[in-house]
Amino acid sequence: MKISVPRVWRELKSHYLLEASVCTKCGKIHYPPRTICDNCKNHKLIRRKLSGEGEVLTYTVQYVVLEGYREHAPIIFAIVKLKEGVNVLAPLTDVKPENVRVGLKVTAVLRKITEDGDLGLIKYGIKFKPMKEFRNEGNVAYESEKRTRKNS
Amino acid sequence: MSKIYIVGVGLTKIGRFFDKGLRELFAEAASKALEEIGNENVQALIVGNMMSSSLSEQDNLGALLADHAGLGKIPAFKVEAACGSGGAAVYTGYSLIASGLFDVVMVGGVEKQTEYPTRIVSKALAQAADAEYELFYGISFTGLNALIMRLYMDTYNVSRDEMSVWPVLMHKNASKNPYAQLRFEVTKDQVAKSIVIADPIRLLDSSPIGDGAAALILASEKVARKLSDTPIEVAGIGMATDHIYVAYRENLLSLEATVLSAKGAYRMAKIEPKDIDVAEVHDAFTVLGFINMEDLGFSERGKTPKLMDEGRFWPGDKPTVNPSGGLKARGHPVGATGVYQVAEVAMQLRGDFPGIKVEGDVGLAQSIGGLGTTVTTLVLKR
Repeated sequence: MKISVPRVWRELKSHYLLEASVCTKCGKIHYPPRTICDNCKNHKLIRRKLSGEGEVLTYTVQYVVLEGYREHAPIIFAIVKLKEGVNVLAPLTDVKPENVRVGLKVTAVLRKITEDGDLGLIKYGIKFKPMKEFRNEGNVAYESEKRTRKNS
Repeated sequence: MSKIYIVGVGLTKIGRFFDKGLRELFAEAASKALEEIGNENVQALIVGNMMSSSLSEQDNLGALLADHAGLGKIPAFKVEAACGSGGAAVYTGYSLIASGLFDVVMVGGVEKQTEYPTRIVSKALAQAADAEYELFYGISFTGLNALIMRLYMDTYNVSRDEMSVWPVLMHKNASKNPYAQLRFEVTKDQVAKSIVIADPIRLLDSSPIGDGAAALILASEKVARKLSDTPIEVAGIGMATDHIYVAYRENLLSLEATVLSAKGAYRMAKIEPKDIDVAEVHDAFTVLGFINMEDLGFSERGKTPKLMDEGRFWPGDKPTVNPSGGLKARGHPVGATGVYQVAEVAMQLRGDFPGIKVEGDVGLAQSIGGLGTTVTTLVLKR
């Protein structure tokens, strides 16, 4: 399906800045952001940017990728437990599959997610990269992001 | 509340049918079910289906199929709950009779997946997840389940070979089922050497892509015995949902919707897990099979692979699990699967399932949509 401008725009802050909703009554943090608190049913929620720092809770290296993601294959996906105690699902970047492990400390960065062919819109979002020792700039994921778009 | 019965069932073989579309597949299953009730009229049709819109450009499926199966101008509509559409359709059909609106309702399930290559079908399947926060990143359904499989193996210290007992048993069971898609046996070694889809999930941990259709006829207590000599009672039915964003859940190694839906079904049927003789559980991936056994109360957390390796849950044991071969090897025609499971358990209790037979009076069927996001559990009694 074509990338829709209003749809990307509507989710900008939660996708680019990792903005969560916080309940003004019970204090629960929700990511993805909610309209109503699932803990206390309060409708008054405020938005707060998450730290983006956390560690890998579990991960997978996905070899068979979906239509539109082929240039990124294989994609490493992880559930990351952030310092705030909130879990976020996102791809990992700047790391080789063999260097990923449960407990790896990571931080969120803005990266390209996919694009509509050679001339269409580009969708950006959060990926997590290792904080220090396992960062590796020669890996598959990093290379695929540096690859320029083909001339049509 | 008066009782509700299954009085007719019909299934197609599951496979790649390039010569059959949604309408032909469904008509085949529907006509078999109607034959069982002497071609009497049904008053409404509920269809479980996930991807007619995304893969066949077909909405308004209820009307299409009622028309094409020759059911007349009856009320008909589609119920969608991803891979759990079949279970949700049974739940809806049951409710229509329980409400007193109808006495005879057909519940069908149909899926046509093999029109396109895997990357396109996988994309359509992945729409079961959270579109804005999971599918957005390109994670497939296999990818999501792989996150859970790694956690399961790490937490309970289960090896690759210990996990492989699930596909081995499922393929063995399916090899006897004439409706199954994968009618061949596999070894642990073959599982461990099959290609990696999303590490640690390998090809032989995954249910196949296939086409198929199933139909059930549900009837009220008032008319059930007029339509069938061997009606099977729907003694308990439960349904529940969970956070669609999987990472939001507090416990990733239990599907709360399974626990809640099963609790509801057990309470209604006034039984406990130990009373179940035969169960058809949702094993789209190896790890889900094990987690479901634990959530349904058949096994302790993290112990199922070892127990199954020792022979628990094989034919002859109580409960026997997935004598059909499960989603793993019978196949998983997504929106039809939940209807297949209920039909198979009903046939087991009637004594006429054409594959591995299980002796018993009480059966269970569990249908899941998404990664435990929508779950329907049924208890059937002879």
